[in-house]
Amino acid sequence: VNDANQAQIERDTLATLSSTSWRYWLGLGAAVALVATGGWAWSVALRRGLGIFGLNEPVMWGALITTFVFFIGVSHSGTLVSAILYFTRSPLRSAIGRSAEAMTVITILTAGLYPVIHIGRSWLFFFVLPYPGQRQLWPNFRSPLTWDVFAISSYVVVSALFLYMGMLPDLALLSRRVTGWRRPLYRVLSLGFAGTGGEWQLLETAYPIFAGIVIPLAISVHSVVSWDFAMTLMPGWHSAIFAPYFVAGAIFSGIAMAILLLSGLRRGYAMQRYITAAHFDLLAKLLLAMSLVMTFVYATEFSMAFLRGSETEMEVFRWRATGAYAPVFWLVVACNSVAPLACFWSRVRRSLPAMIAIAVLVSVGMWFERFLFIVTTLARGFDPQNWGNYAPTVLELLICLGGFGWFFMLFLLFIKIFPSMSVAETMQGHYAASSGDAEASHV
Amino acid sequence: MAMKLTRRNFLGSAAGVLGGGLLAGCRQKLPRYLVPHAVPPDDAVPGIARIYRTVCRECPAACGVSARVCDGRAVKLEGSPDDPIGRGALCPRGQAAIEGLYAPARLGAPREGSREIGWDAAEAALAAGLKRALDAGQKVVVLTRPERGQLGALFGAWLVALGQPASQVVTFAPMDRPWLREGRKRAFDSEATPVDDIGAARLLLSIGDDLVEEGSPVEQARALANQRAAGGRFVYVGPRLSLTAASADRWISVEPGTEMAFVLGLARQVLDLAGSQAALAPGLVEPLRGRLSPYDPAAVAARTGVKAEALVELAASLARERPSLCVGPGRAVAGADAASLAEAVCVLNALLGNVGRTLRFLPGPPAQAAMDLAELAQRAAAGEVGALVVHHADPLGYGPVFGDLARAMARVPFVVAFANELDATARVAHLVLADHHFLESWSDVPSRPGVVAIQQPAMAPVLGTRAAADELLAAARALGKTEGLPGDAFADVVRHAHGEKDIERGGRQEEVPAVPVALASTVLAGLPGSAAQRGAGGDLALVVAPSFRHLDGLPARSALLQELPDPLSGFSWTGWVELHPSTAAALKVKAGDVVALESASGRVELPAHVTEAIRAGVAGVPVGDALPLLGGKGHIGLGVRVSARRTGARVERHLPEDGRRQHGRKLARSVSRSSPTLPEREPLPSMYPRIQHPDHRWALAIDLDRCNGCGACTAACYVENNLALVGPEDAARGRSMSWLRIQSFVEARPEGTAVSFLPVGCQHCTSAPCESVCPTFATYHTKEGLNAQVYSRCIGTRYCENNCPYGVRRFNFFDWPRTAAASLGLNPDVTVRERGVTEKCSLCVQRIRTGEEEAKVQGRRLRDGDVVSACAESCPTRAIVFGDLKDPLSEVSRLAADGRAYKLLEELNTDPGVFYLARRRESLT
Repeated sequence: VNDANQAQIERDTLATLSSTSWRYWLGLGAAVALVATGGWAWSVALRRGLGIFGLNEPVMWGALITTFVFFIGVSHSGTLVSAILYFTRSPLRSAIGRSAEAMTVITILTAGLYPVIHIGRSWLFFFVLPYPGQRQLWPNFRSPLTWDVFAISSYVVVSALFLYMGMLPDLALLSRRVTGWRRPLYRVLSLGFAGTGGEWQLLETAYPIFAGIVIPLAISVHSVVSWDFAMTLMPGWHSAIFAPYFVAGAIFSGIAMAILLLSGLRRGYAMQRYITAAHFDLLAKLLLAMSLVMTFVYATEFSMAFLRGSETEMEVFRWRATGAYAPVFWLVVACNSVAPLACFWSRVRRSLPAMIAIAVLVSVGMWFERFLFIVTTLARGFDPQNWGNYAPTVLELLICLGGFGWFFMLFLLFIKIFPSMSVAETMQGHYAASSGDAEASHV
Repeated sequence: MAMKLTRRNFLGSAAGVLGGGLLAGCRQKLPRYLVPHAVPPDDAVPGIARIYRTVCRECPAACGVSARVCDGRAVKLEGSPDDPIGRGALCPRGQAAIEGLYAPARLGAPREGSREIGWDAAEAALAAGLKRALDAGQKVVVLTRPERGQLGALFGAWLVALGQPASQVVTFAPMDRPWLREGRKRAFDSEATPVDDIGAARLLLSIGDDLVEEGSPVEQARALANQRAAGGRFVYVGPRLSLTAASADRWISVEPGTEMAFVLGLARQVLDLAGSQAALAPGLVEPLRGRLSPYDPAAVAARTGVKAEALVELAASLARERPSLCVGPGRAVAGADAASLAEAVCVLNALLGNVGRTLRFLPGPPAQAAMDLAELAQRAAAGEVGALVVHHADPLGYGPVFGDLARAMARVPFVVAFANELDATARVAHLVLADHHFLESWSDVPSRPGVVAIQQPAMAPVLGTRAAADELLAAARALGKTEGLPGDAFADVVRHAHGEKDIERGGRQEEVPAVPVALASTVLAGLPGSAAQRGAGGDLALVVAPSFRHLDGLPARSALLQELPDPLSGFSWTGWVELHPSTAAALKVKAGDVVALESASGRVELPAHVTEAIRAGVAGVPVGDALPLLGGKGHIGLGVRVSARRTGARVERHLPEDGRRQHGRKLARSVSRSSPTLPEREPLPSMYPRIQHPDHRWALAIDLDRCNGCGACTAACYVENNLALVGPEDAARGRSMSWLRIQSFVEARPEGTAVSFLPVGCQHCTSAPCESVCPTFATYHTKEGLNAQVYSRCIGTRYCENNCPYGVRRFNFFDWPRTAAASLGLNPDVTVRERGVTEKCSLCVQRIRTGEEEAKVQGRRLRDGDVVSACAESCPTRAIVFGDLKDPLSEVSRLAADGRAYKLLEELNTDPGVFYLARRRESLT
C-alpha cells in the first residue's frame, strides 16, 4: 500500500467531514423542521395537558410509548451489531461499525425523550431518579419503570464510551489534519493519543472488554424494556417470551435502520468502494434470519395464548387479528414476516433499491408491531365494560415524527463533526487485504 | 364603602344563619378573596362541618336531607336518617341538587324583559302589574309546582286578599300520574291516598310501573330491595327492560297498548280460583265474571304476545303467594286509557285480597276546588287573565304537550315568574324574580298524610335572590291589600307553624289510621273496546322511559346528571333511542347511528342504542328527549307512534358494542334462589407473605341482589370527592373522571332477557397490581388496607392505570374547567387534582380520618357505622356497605362471610377489599 492509496482512503473516509453538499443541508433542514414541529406539539401538551392526545381510559399508552420502544429497539442493533462484528472479525465492521455505534447513542438519546414527553407532569420527571431528598423517598425499585431508568442510562453510558474509544485513533489523526475550531476539539478529545505501539496495545485490550460488556447489556436493556409489559398482569403482555421477543425485534429493526443509514452514506458520500454490495448481502441475510425469528415469535405468542386457555388472553389475540386493529396486524405480518422473505434471493440482497424498500417496510412494520401489542392489550383488558379503542391525534404523530427528525438531525451533525467510518480500521483492513493475510492483521 | 362583597361579609352573614336567624341580603357578586374570620362566629369551628336538616325539592317525593355546611357553604346533601321517605338515602338527582346552588345559569337578580334590574324596581313593577290587572277587573292566577304546605295556603290567602277567589291556583305537576288517582277513584269510589306496602308483598307485579325511576324513587327502590331480600318475587310487565325491570326476577314483555288485556286476563284467571271471591261484594261476582269473560288466556295471548301458559302460571302464583301486590300502570305503559288500566290493576288487587294488607288507603287531603291547566289556557286565551304569577313551573318547556299555553300566555298582559334559572316560561315572562334555592329558603312539604317535611335554609343565599313568598307579601302591602295575610316574613310563618324540635329533626310524622275501601259496583263497567289501541303514525310504538335525569320530564340541565352515564344505555350528555336488534336491522340501523324519529307532531334525532332489553317494534326514548314527539297529548306516556329513519350521521361510542356482554368472565355473578351460595374457593397461593393490617381493614360489600343500577353512589362520589366534570367531548372519548362506574351486562337467561349491574370502583387490593409498578411510590397500600394515591408524588406515567385489571384509575388529561361559583361548592376536605395526575376511589379517606378523630376525642374505639363512605351513605337500597373487616361483628364482615360473597377477578390473586354478593336469580346459568 503506497502513500497515495493511504491518502485516498483518508480522503474518502473523511469525506463526510470535508464536503457538504446541498443534499446534506436539505436533509438537515428537513430534520430540524421536524424537530421544531414536534417541539411545538409538545409545547401544546405542556401548556394544555395530555388531553390533546388520543389517549383515553383504558388505552393510556399509545404512539409515544410505541415510538419509545421503537427507538430503544433500533438502538440495540447499533452497538450490538458492531460488537458482534468485532468478535467475529467481520470485514463488515470497518464499514458500518462507527455509524452503527453512533446510531445507538443517538437513538437512546431520542428514545429517552419519549417517557418524559409522555408523562402527565413532565416537569417532575426527576422523581424517578434516586436522588437523596429531604424526605428520604427513593424510587420504587419494584417498578419496571425504575429498572428502565437504570438499564437505559447504563446502556447509554457504555455505548457512548464504546463509540468514543473506537474513535480515539481517528480523533488523533484528525487533530493533525484539520485547522480552525475543530483542531482544539479533536486535540482535547483524542486524549493525546499518539499512535504508539503501547497505546495501540492498551486500546486493543480495552476495546474487547467494552465490546464484551455491551453485548449482555444490550440484551438486558431490551429485556428490561420488555418487562415494562411482561411484569404486568395484562393479557397479551404477561408472557415469558417477551424478553427474547424484544431482543429479536430490536436486532431486526436495528438491522433495517443500519441498512437505511448505510445506503444513505453510500449514496451521499460515494463510498461504494468501502460499503459494498457484499456488505448489504450480509446485512440482508441477517435481516432474513431475524425475520424468521420474529415470525416464530408471533406464532408462539398466538399458540401459547390459546394453549394456556385463558379466555381473556385468547380474546386479546383473537381480536388482534380480527378486530378493530386487524389492518395493523396484517400490515405487521406483511412487513415483518413476508417482505423480508425476498432476501432468500441473492439478486434482492445485492440490489440497493430493493434492500432500501425492505428496510423501510421492516421499520414501518416494527413501529406498528409495537403499536399493535401495546394498544390491543390495553383496549381489551379483563373487564369488557372497560374496553375502548385508541387512535393517535395529529399532534401526537407530530411528536413522533419530531423524534425521527431529532434522530436524523443528531446523526447528520455527528457525521459532520466525527468520522462516520473508522479510518484506522479501514486502513487496517486494506493493509491486511493487500498483504493477502486478512486474518493476521487482527491478531 | 360601596356594596362590594368580600368573603368576610359573606361569611359574616352566613354566620347569622348559623345562629338561627335569617338575613336577607343584597349580594350581587361572589366572594373573590379568601379572608379568614377576624372574629369567628361562636359556634362555627373552621374545618368542622355543620349539618342542617331540610327537604330535597328536586321532585315531589320530598325526601328529607341533611345538608353538610362547611364554613358557611353547603357542600353535600345526604339523606336524613329520621325521614320516613328517604330514610337516609338519596337518589342521583338529590345528590346533584347541590350543583343547582352554584350553577352558572342561576339567576342572581330580578329581570325585566332581557335586562337585569334592582329589587326596588322589580317590586314596583310587580305591584304595578298586579294593580293593572286588578283595576281592569281581570283575574290574577297563580301557576305553581305542587305546594301543599304553608306556601300553598299563602297563595290562596294572597289571592283572597287581592279580592280573587282562592281557587285560582293552578298546580303544574308534569310528571304526576293522574291516571292512578282516576283509576282508583273509579275502582273504589274513594279519594283516599293509597299507600303501597311493596316490602310486604311475597309476589310483586308491576304493570310498567318504574318504581326505581319515578314516583318516590328512593322509598320505592328500598322497599323493592327489601321485598326481594325477604324472599319475595318480583315480576315486571312492560315493553322495555327498565332499571326497575332489571331488578325483577322476570321481565314479561307485552305488546304496548295491550297491558289492559293482560291484566284483565290475569283477573279472569284469579276470579276463577278459590277464595278470591271472598273479597268481593256478593252482587259483584257475576257482573264481573261477565265483564271479564272475553279475556280467556288464548285471546289474551293472541293479543299481548305473552304465552297463555305463562299467563295462567302467573295468575296461579299470584293467588298462591299471598300477600301479593300489583302496582301501576307506570308511564311506560300509560296510554290514553291509562285510567282504565289503573282501574283494572285495582280490581286485580282486590281479587287477590291485597286491599287492606299490602295496599292500604289513608284519608286523603280534602279536595279543593282549583283551576286546572286547561281552564287556565282557555281563560287566558279568552283574555280573562290579567296577571299570571308563575312559581317554579315551566309549562312552556314541555312545548304543546299540556296544551297551547304559549299562545294563551301571550294574551296575558302581565306574567311574573319566580324561578332559579331562566327556563322557557321565565323567558317569556315580563318580570322574572330570582328566587332562593331550596337550600337557602324556608318552606314545608306535607308529602303524604301524616308526614310533614320542613325545609330550612342551610346557608345564606349565594346570590342576590329573595324569597318568592316575601315578594308576594310585599306586593300585597304595596297595593294595600293585606287582609288575612301574615305581617311578618314567610320564614317566620313556617317557623311558627312548626316546633323547634321538628325543624331540628327535619319534619314530623304521625300514624294515620287507614280507611276501608271496597270495589265499586260499577267497576270495569265502561271497558274500552277490545281492539288494541294503535294510534296513527309510524311503525314503532314510542315508549317514554323515565329516568333520574328527567324527574321533571325536561331535558337535564344539571351538568353532573348529564355526565353520569345512563346505567342501561351508557350514554352521557345526549339522549338516545333504544331499538331491538331486529327492529334496528329492519331499519338498517347500527348502534350509534343517528336516527330521525318522526311522529305526527314532531321530530327528533337521536343516536341508536341497539339492545335486547326492549321489545321489537318499539322505540324507547328517555322522557326529556321524547317531548317533541308527544304533540298535544296532554300527558307524558304511551300512545304515540313514530317512524324511524337513519340520517347517515353517527355518534361514535367509546365502549364497543361487544363490551356490553360478560364474555363468560363471571364478573357480575348470580346464584339460584333455591341454593344461594357460590362454590367454595381455596385461597390462591402467593410467593409473598400476606400483608397484615394491624388495626383496621376498610372494605366495601356490594350486594348485587339489592343494586338496581340507579347511580346514586356515583353521583354522591362526584359531589363528595370533588370529581371534575369533563364535558360531552371528553366523556365520549372515555375520559370521564368517575371513581365508581355502574356496569350493566345484558344477558339471555332461561327466564328471559336480563340485565346485571355491577358497580366497580377501586377494589383496594391487598396485593395491588398498580402499586408495584408505580416508579415514584405515588400509590401504596396503607396499614388500614387502603390503596392510597399521593397526588403530589404522581408524575402521571399511567402505568398503574394500565396494570389495573379493573380499569378504575382515572387520569386528569386537562385542568378540567370549573366555574368560580362551582368552586364554592367544593368539599374542603378533599384535594382538587391538577392535570397530569392519576386519581381513583380513596374509600372516602377524609371521612375515615374525621371518624377516627371524633372517636379519639370521645376517648373510644371506632364503632361500626361511625364511618360511612359517600356511596354507601347515598345508596337507596343499602346495597353498598362500608366497614372494617378487622371488626368481626361489623356488617361488612358478616357480608364478606356470606355464601354469596365473591371478589372480582379472584383468579388474579389481587385480594381485593371489595366484596360482591352474587345476585339471586330464578335460574342458574
